[in-house]
Amino acid sequence: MNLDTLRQSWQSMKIEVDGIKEQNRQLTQRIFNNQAKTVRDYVKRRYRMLVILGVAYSFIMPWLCVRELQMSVLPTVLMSLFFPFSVVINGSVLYMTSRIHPSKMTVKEMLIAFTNLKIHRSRCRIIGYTVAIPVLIALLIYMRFIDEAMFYAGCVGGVIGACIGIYQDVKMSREIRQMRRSLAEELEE
Amino acid sequence: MTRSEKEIMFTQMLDDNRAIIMRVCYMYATDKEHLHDLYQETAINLWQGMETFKGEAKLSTWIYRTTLNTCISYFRKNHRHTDTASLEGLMELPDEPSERTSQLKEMYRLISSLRKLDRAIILLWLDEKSYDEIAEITGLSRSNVASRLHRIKNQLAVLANE
Repeated sequence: MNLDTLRQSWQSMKIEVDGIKEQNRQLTQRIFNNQAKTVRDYVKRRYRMLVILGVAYSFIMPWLCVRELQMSVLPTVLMSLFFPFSVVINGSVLYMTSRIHPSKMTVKEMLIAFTNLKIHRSRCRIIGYTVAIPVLIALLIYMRFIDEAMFYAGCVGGVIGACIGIYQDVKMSREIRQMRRSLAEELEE
Repeated sequence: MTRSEKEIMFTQMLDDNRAIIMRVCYMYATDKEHLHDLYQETAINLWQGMETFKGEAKLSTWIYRTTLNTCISYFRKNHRHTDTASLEGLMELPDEPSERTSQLKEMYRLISSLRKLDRAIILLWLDEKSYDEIAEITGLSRSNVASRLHRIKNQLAVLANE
């Protein structure tokens, strides 16, 4: 196979998809009516909602824990800190996603930015699962004094959740290493 | 520029450059639905990027860059697909002899096994972009582009002989 010879024929190649003209027309109409969104837009919207919910719960939780649930100090503090923490984590993912501009970046910049975003999202999930543990333990302690059946159900749920969390942590750590390796291979000169 | 002028310009740009966008998306797609998704995503990114494109680069350079970036950063939302029909049969070479057509299809198959950045470089070279243009689009140095291209060609030759 001679690449230089094939190169001459390359530009005559067409990729023909049935009904492409009509699909194109419908697509442009959806774009002009603001109905078409990229996957990046959906991801940004999702993380924006998580940030907004996190901010709202940051204010609601202390009041709820003290006034309504009458929790002791430790679970109140842990529950109250968890949501501002989630705002920071989700906010950082939103920020990194917003900085990705396919039409402005070079291909190398995009590869690096996108890989870093995927790694950061995975790390945030690992941190989120880990940080949730003391919160869940505090909730279990609270449940112990409310209702014994609820406490035992909570323990079972906690064990199942911990197993899932550990499995996800290990899986994501492996994925992070794989992503770093792939990026290094891509950028190798 | 009014909105309707922008819409007309965008529609014209998409029509004029559809072949380029399709060729790039085809290089990175795994099935028909993926190809369709990549094409859509690219069109939306081009529309969103039009606001900030000030003509500092050639239009074709900008389109290549946006399309390549869309393809390498696309994350499929839903992995369960209803139309995972293969991409074979979509490639047409109307004026070429059948032997050349099968060689091109084989080359496409080999190129799709390369890493993402290497795929971008060889695709741009096949589209007769200069080393400087390839460097501008990819963000690599000119010498890096040259050495990578040499390595990619050798790699494809080895893969073709296997």
